[in-house]
Amino acid sequence: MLTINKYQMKTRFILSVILIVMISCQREANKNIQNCSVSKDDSIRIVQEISKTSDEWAEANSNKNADKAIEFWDSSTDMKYAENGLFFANRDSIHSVIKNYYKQTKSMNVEWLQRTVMPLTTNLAAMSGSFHFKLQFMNDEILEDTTAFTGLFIKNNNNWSLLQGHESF
Amino acid sequence: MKTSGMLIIVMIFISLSCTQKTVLSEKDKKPVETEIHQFMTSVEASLQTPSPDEYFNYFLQTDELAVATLGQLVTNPAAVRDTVNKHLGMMEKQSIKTNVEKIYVINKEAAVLSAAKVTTITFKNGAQITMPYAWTLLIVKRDGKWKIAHAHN
Repeated sequence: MLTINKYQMKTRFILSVILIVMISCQREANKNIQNCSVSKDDSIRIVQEISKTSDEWAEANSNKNADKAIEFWDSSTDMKYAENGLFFANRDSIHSVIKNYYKQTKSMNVEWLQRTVMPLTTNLAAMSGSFHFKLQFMNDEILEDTTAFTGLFIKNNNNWSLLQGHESF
Repeated sequence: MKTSGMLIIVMIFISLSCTQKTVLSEKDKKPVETEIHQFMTSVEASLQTPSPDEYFNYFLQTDELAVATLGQLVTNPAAVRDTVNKHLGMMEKQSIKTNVEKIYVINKEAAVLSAAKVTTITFKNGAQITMPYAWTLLIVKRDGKWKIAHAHN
């Protein structure tokens, strides 16, 4: 006849409790994937950080600092960026265009008019907004317009950068 | 000994289970990509017919909505509806060809799509144009349905 002593009973009880904890944890982990809820504190921090990143980008452009401005874009192969309906081939092509622009530019001013940041996870957030730019070429010709912007930012190594974006004017 | 071994195995499982998963595996991304493809097929069908009301219903109708086109940013759903009605109202039909498309899955409830497309539009007055365009979308799942939160073309 099979007998269960007190020690075995106790062990089985502990194992049952552990099993319940394990299942609960798994459910919670899955819930985190599905909801990807970002806490209020995290949301506030993300909005501040992305605002700062986009401010730095505007400032770099206003200073005609192409090497600083290009830091705005993510360096991974996942990066996609379109301007006025056409995609840049890659980050290097964006860098070339900016550098080329600033070679022909006497002054440049970029100023955000509106920005709305939508935190999606603790390291991904979407932003929509618009900025005004005024560019004075060497021949004194002026190009000035308001640009609509949408994009997805990713945080890597404590820095936010643009993973996917689109601007049009 | 047998019990201790069991306990160790269970503890390893607990530590693995309780690790918060924030990044989807490639395997988990596939069904999301499939759902996005299906969603986009429906969205494009509404554009090709064209059916303004049906197309507008694919947009998230909350204050999170942002639609940008040709330098204009529209964030009010009612204004987006007016824009959709205005643009699609001029069209007799539209055919869309996708040249390049990339889906970046954020999680099971959000993804971004970047697509290079060519459209041929036949207007109600008989005129026809063919033009390339870039379309970038932030698509989110709300109440079990995919909706466009951000759109830019």
